[in-house]
Amino acid sequence: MILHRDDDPTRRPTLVETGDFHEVTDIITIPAETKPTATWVILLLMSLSLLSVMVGMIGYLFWEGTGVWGVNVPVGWGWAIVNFVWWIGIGHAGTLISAILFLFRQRWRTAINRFSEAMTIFAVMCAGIFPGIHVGRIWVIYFVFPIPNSMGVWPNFRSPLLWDVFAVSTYFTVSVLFWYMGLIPDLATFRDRATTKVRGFILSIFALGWRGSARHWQNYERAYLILAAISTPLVLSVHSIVSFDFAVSKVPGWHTTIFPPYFVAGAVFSGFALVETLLLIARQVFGLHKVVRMHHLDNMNKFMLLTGSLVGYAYGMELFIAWYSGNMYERFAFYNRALGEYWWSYWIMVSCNVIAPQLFWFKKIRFNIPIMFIITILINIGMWFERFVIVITLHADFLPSSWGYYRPTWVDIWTYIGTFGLFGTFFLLFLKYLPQLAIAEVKGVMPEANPHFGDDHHAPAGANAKGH
Amino acid sequence: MSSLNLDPKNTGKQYWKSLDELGEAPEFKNFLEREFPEGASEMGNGVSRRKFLQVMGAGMALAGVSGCKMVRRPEQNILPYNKMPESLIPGVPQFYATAMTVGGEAVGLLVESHEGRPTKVEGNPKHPSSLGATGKYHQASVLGLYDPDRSQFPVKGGQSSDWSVFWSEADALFATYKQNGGQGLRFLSGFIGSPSLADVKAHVLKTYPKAVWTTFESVNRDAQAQGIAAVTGAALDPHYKFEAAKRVLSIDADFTEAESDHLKYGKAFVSTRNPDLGPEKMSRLYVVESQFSPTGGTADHRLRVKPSQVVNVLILVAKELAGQGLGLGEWTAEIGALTADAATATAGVSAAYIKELAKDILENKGASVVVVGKYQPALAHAIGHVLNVALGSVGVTVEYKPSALKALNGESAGSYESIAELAAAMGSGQVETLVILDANPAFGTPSDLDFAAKLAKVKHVINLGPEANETSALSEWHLPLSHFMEEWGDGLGYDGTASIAQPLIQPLYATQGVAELLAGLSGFEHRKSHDIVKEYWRKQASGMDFEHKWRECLHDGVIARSAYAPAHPGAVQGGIAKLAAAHAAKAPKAGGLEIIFRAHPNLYDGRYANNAWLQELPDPITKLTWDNAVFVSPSLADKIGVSSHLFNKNKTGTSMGEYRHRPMVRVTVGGKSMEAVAWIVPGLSDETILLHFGYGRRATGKVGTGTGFDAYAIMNSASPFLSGDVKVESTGGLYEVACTQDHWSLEGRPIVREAGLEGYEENKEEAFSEEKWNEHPVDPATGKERSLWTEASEAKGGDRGTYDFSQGMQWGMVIDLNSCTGCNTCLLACTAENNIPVVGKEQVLRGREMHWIRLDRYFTGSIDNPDLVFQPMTCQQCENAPCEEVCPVAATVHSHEGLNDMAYNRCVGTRYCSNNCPYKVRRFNFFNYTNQWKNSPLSMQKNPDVTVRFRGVMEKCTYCVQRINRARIQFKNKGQETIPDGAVTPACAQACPTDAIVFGNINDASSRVAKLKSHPRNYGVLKDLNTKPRTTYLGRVRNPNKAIEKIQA
Repeated sequence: MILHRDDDPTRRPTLVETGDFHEVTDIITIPAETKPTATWVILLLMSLSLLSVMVGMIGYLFWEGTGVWGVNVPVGWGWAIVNFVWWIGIGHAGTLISAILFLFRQRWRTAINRFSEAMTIFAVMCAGIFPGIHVGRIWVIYFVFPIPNSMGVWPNFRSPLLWDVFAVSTYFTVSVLFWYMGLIPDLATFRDRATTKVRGFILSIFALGWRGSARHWQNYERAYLILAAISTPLVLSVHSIVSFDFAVSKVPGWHTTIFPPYFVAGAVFSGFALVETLLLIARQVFGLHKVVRMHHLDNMNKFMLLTGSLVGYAYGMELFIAWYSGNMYERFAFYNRALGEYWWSYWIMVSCNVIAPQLFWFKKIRFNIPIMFIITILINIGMWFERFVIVITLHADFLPSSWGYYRPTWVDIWTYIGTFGLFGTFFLLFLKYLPQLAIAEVKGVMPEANPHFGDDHHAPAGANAKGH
Repeated sequence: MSSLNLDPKNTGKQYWKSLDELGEAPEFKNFLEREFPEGASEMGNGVSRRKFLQVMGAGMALAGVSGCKMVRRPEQNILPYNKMPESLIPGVPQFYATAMTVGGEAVGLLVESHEGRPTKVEGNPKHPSSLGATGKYHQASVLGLYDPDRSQFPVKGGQSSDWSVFWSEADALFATYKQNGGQGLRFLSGFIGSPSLADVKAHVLKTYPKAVWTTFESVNRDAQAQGIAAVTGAALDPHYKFEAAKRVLSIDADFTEAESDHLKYGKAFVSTRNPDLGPEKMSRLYVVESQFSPTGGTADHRLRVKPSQVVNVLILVAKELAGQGLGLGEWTAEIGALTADAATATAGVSAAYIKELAKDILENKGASVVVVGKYQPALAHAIGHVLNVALGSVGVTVEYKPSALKALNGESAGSYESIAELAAAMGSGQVETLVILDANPAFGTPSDLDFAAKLAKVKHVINLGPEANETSALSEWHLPLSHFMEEWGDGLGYDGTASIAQPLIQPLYATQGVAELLAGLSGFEHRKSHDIVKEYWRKQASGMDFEHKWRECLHDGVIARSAYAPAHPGAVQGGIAKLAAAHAAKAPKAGGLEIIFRAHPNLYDGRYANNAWLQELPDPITKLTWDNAVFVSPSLADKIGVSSHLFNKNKTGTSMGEYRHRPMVRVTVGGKSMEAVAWIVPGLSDETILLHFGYGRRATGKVGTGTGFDAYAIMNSASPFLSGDVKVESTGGLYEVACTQDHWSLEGRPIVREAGLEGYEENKEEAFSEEKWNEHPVDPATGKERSLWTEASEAKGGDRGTYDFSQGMQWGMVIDLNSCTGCNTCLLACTAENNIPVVGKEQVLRGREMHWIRLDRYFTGSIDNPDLVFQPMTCQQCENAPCEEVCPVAATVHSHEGLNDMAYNRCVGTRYCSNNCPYKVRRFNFFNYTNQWKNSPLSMQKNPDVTVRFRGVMEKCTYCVQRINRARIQFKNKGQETIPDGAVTPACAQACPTDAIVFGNINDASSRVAKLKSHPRNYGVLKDLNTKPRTTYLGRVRNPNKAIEKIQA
């Protein structure tokens, strides 16, 4: 870890509330080394059943055809794309926390980064399902990849959907690498504590021979920094490119230049909300109070306040531009969003995304766990509806004769619910078998990590002078 | 004849049965288990021929055995002709002339046949009722031929039987009638349009002199015949000559869609609607009607009045004309004695309006015409005739010819009187045997006759019909009827033109024609339809080279110069007074609710209920599919408290989202009631209910049974089409209706562009220009539309996937909105040509109809009394196609001739193209809709030149690229690289009765389409998006009467 030499623990809120390094190691490793709790088993079984529902729904979809969903003409995309964008957006907080906050030396991130990186990967997995299964002919989906072949099939690089393919797969790959890179020292810790041969063997493979030497640390930190630098633009690019699916089209209400920043802000917003939701649960279930402190939650709430306000600004700006452009189709699209047949979805979106996070202006609310839990849930609902509102704009575009209405079917609904099974299964497995928090990093922000820990009789500024 | 294998058992598995022995052999099983066939590794040591064949054969067998069900390859057997039919080139379709008769009127057709399978119907340009165009029923008839629900063998008392059993029983039964002269024997048929059948009928009645023949059609023009006979004393039919008419007053006459000879009328009328004719020559149409008809939509002035008042408006006009100095001759006193004023005043028709209308008609004396619709009472027809005589229209804008229908069916009371008489006779037990010929009286008769119940009192009911239906269920014998494409026939057109109708195919099942059955029952000299028809015409053509003439007629489809000559109508006094008295007795009292019954625009009287194309065809005005409904005006909906489930919030259409279930209402007419779903139609007169009959079939095939609501249940035979004794109330029930276009309003968008003739005359260049309506920004430096990149049209073939559109043949289309009457025929023609599947009500409810053409319908103006515009909307073949940019796999790309092509095999089905299509004309196969054709005779209808699309791919209009390529081959064979103008006609344009669609090469300056593209009325829809559509529209120009506009303002 690159440490801030002038990081003065006495002037900042304590990031970890424990006695020593060993206790931190215990907190994080013991759940992985003991028998699973009944709660965990029940949660896993629930997740697995939802996962099997999802698999069943997808199987049914493949067997019968896209028609089992509610999509139609004019609304060619429905819940599948809404869910895709929603899950991808959730993934954003992970990269933001791991990469951008890392580069900005926001060291409070150590308590939540592992968590959110894992969430990113699982969310992107959930998201990645949808563009794959929403096509009409799944058995030729490989046509979208630039695979040299004798059929003369070559993708159209002008299509934003193709950009999506690259953006999402890059994002997933880098996220996995980044996550795994951060895991290495902690896996080594697990390995060292392993009591059985098998466990030790498996962990030693994944720990890549980590011995914690200074050279290892130097290489590790360099690699981590590079990956953080690679990931940072991805935070901006992935959701920008996802927004191009809409912005590059001609559909009124989609064809707007504000989409890339607006989507990124929304993605971070929803990502933080879901990280906090999950963190609050894990904190409760696994007793992480000492590591995940109110200070972290407060910071996250401030992030949500910021990004929520950005999103609210974007909503307002969209309306203004629709009016200011003088374009009749654009004006109608926004009028129709707010007051048309889908008015309810627009107002759910506004209430959850714009009004709810404004409560975080109050410190009392930022420090109130039940209220912030409710708000994060509302934000997740609101952000789902934001994507719904955008996708459903299709229902009334240029020619009034072609206007239609979209309703999801039970298959749409259960496929979506099923993705929570996928997410939950992986997340529970992660919580159980991998270090939930970055042990090495957390230790790095503890008072003990300060080279002058215990040198109370020295002036704090003397560290450099003493030539350590 | 047919190389198509329809045996469901004959699958690929059976194909491999020829290798049974090999498959069962232990060596073979061993072979399957080995990775490489035994011989394969041994070949290096010298290959014996025997070994080689063994390995090859086993390899094939392996492919067959391991052929997994998931591999979806069509299984086809290609069989060579044993004896090649003369002049047949496999793959090149042949066309045969025939004729189809509906309601006793024949229309000449040319039927396309692929290797013996009729697949598509076109109009016969030589037939005066077709002139190359077709109607809905003609286009859909080919589906009727292959309807899997057709009756295939005789059925006795519900048990399948055989013709030989029938004939042995019938011979015994009819032997007794031969002795007693046919006492207790009755026949029931629809209108006969065939001279040879009329000849057989005459023979039947000669053989059984005491037998009675009843003719009944629920859709008829008895009132017209009665009205004109009353004032002329002869059985004459009016033949309007719209091409010569400058002012047309239509009294509830939907002459472009529903009246006799409407194909011809539509074409003639539209020829006068070109605004470039100028105010002197362009016609003006006044329509007086209660419900919105497509003709009413084309009107310059549509007067919306209550149904009972339509005739009163005509009376007012007649009196006003007389008042303005028009001499009514013999009928002056009779017309003068008519009263209408008080009643009409309540309908809100101002005297000034009538005055200006009459003035306009009178000013164009000699070039005006009054047209009266078939649902109007005889009185209206009589007055209409009187006015036409007085206006000097006879011989100019209207001719009178003897009625072919009367000539073939004889003088009789009206249809409803006849069927009532038959029902009474059945009720009193006077009917012992009833032979029902291609009619369905157990369903299609007014409920007051109680026909179905009375049928039970008839000892022997013999029913010859195309399908098992309500009547056949009550019949002793149900006999299968041949389709018109399966038997020889003939028919007289509305003007008496005779056609010989050739069969296209051997009967698919054990069916017989009407004439064949009658010939058998009466001992006619010929038994086969071919002999009956041919020998009849041999008799007519005495003294000439008959065989030669016969062949000529078969080829042409019409018998030359067989149309009736115009007759001079006589003048009979007293007729109007008599009709007025009869009318006064029947007409509903002024004030209060009224109900009108009309034939369903798609199902006719119900006979086409099992035709899936017609079921899924949207109603031209309301765009409902798969159901009829109780149509009410917006204000009536408010009054009966059903509007909340129908309107959207702004009253700009029916609600799409909040309410998917629509309110049910109970309609009670004269004590009988039925429940049906309510639907709002703007432009329907207030206090009026419109209900279409034909729906609500209780027993037909799988497609039609249980769709819609049966209006016959509340119809009354005494006054079948109009009743004032009606109540309507909401039942509180709900029902889902599949509507393909919920929105009414154009939302102020420049999609359909209209101008008044005067404004157009003043500045033709400006009236429809992009500047005036909506503009894509133009770069002042180049004078071209601004664009971010070099556009496909300007790339000159530089980049991959772009072509130089200034070279070669570049296809384009122009649709004239002044000519389109919204009749839907193009949609059906496209369905037949392009193998478009029917998806069913459930899928239409989900918004997944597959039609490649939509007939967009918009109401403009006030919601109560709006104008109506139609706009056929199909793929615009944009040069800058938004769909192409977004497809990730390049499945939709441009061709060098400017077509936006779909490569079905490449499509993965992201539906992005559909989302990005501003016109929303792309259609997606959400399910494997074409499964319905598997192992069904329906597969025989499919056009072999058009790919059948599998589930998960997008499809859309191709400009009938298969026809372009057929023409290309044809002309390349002649050594011509360019296809001349007019050699390619897409299915829609070919079927269009009014020639509203023009297609051709826009690079050829002399082509019709290129000329229209440079016309000032030409505009592109959503051109401001810079899509550069290849399909453009000619803006609509109405010709309103300024004086009337002033009154209305």
